[in-house]
Amino acid sequence: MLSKVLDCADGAPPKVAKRYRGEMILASALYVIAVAVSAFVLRWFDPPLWVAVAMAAAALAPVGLMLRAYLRYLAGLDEFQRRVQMESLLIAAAVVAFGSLTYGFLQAFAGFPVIEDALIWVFPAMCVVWGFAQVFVRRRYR
Amino acid sequence: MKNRLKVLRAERNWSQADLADRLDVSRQSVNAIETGKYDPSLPLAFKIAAVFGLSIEQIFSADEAAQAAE
Repeated sequence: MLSKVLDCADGAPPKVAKRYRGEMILASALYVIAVAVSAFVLRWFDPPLWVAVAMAAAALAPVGLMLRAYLRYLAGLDEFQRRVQMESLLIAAAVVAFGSLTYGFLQAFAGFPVIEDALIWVFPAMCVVWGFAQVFVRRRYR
Repeated sequence: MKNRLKVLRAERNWSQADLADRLDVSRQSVNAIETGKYDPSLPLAFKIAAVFGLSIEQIFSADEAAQAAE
């Protein structure tokens, strides 16, 4: 099951899947480098605010490439596969929104601890839930 | 919506992959349409009809519940 979650290009035309995997690997590698460089600079050089903002933007650029790769992938799918993607994304958005709102209320009303840099985890959480949701949505159409 | 895709495909000795190639869609899409779990768009329904050389009405029909509601 995990392989199906990780292989989100499953079932796509081979050319589209190959391009998607290539673009995602490149964007992921750039992301790791950008985050590592940003963390190093911010930790050891105590840069001015504008440099810190530039570092944050540099880490975001590869995420933009990932989103571009996904949109190109989506455009290469047939209508049924696009339906699966849309339903999976909707489930991911609903689960993450519900989860974050729930914890927000628990934090505000019940004194649950504040999670530092919580907003950073929204995008990865959506990606993970989206991956699992795809497996279940595909299974429903079998 | 009901369809005769599986029967028509079997008459021609086509696998799901063969039909998917002819329609330029994935095998999963053909399977989902055949099992009635996914209703194709009108353009895809026309394409399916053209591949089999039939009209849309000869391949797809409303299911009993939809017909009863009419």
